Amino acid sequence: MSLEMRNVSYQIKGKKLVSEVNITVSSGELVGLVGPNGAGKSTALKLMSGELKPSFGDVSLEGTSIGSISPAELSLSRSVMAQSTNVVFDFSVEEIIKMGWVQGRLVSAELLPGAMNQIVNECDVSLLLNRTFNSLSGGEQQRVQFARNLLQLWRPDSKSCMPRYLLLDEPTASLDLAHELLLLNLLKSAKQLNIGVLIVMHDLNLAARFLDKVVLMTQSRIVDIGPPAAVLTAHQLTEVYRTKVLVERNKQLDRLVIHT
Amino acid sequence: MRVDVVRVPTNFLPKLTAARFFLLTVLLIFFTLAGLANGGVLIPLPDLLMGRATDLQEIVFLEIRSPRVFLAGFVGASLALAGTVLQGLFRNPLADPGLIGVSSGAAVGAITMIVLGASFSIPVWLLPYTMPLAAITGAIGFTLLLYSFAKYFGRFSIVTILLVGIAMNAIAAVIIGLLQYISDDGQLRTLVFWLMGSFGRAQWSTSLPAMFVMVVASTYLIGQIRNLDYLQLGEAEAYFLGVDVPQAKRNMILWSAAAVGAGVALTGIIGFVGLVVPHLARLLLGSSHQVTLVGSALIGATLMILADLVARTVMVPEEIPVSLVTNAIGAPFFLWLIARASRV
Repeated sequence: MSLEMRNVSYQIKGKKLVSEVNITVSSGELVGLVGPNGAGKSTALKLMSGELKPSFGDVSLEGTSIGSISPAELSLSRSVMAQSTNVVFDFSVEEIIKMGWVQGRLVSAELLPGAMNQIVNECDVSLLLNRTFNSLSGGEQQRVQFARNLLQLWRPDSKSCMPRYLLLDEPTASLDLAHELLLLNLLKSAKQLNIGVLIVMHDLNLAARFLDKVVLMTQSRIVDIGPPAAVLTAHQLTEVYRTKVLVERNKQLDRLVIHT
Repeated sequence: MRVDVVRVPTNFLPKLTAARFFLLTVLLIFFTLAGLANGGVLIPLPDLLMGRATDLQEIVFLEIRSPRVFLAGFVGASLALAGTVLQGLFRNPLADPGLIGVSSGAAVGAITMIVLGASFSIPVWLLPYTMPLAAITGAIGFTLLLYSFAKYFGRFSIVTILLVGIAMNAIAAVIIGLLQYISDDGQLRTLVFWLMGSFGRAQWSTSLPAMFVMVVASTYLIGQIRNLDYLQLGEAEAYFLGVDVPQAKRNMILWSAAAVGAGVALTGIIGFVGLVVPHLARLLLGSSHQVTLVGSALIGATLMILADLVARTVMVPEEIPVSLVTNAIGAPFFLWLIARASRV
């Protein structure tokens, strides 16, 4: 059970933004795209989400090409958090989060208040509910959007084995230290619910700590793919980022520490 | 997989909003009755119900007043609804039905008929319908042109639609200007009045078909609540939430054009309602389309009936074009909105 891109290339006006990329996100797996600016990470994520159509190759969900799945059907098993969202009119935070409730066909609406309550508390946005979305700071907006995405994939326990996928483009870019950890821990617990996650991130230390699989990209191609310890090596990172990178195992923390 | 009954979350309508909806409905009923009773001929409604009205009052009520008031209500509701839909679709608070070329298209059709109509040989039975038919043809023609240009040039992106809309409006202005230039004095007067809008020509034979189109189109547009709300997060996000975005955009634009075109064809251009009423609805009821769509239709209908009542009673026995009234109310209100927004 997986969301998968096979030999996908994407070009616009003759320029290749993504070349021959293969990525598989299995349900219950936390996969991260890392690499320098302009490496093609966001484009790869957009191709995976169906927002962009590949020039070559195919993206499939449980073996079916996503081009042949209707948007409504797709929305039941994958949600996407973009880098930033601009809302023109004044919507309350509660209204924005509730937009994530697309599962009316599968789940009784009576479960919405309970699901809302659970997610709002988990994401620490309960104090923001009555504010307008536009009055929030960038980081608060990201937390609200994250909550909306979790609500979209929320299922009651009886249906929690359904495979679902969550794609996130730099969801922690504007978050403070504590909320960054909170979000990543929530992603970790999403794994228990069979949710497969594909995340674009820049913080290599967090990548090393949380990801099951790292996809290292540069210049529109994948350089290496595998567990963090195998991919995030000093040699590879130095080459990809063109700057001296050190990687060591910190015995006290018992994890990889990456610094420049 | 067990599929439960579809139920939209229902705890969205707070008591305050419900009360405001009730008040708006009461206002609509009140002004409808006021509109029916007042005018050049006073028609006390209780007399009419008790059968004590004169023959003249009865004829005026049935044949002149009623179609006029109801047409004003339907046109006001349609313009406001289409304005709300287009502002939501374009995510732009300055969008209005004029933007998608439907009004200027209708104007081109109607004015062509005013200026060149005499040179066509038109069967007598068709005469009452020629102006509305010409206007609706123009409205449909311009909207379809805009639609195909926007699709051809820019894969139907919102920016392309806006830009093509500006170009189409400019083309319409050229055609209208040319027709004005070659028109004689009588035609010029007629077309100037048409461009200022009026419900004075309302009669059941033409109003009923137009109302039917407006009801069908409005029903479709009101059904777009979720799609419009999702679109507020952006087109990509709407797609992620399950909206077939290209299809939704196409249908909303074409049904908005139908809602506006059917009305404008009978009444001429009526400004500001489609632009201002959506803002008023958001101010009173909130931004979710769950409340703004129906809310703006109610407010639009009420204001239009009121504007028409003012237009035909301030200078009895003369009546002034209804656009003068809507612009006179709309423009200061819009300024107030801008001032309010810049204070925040």
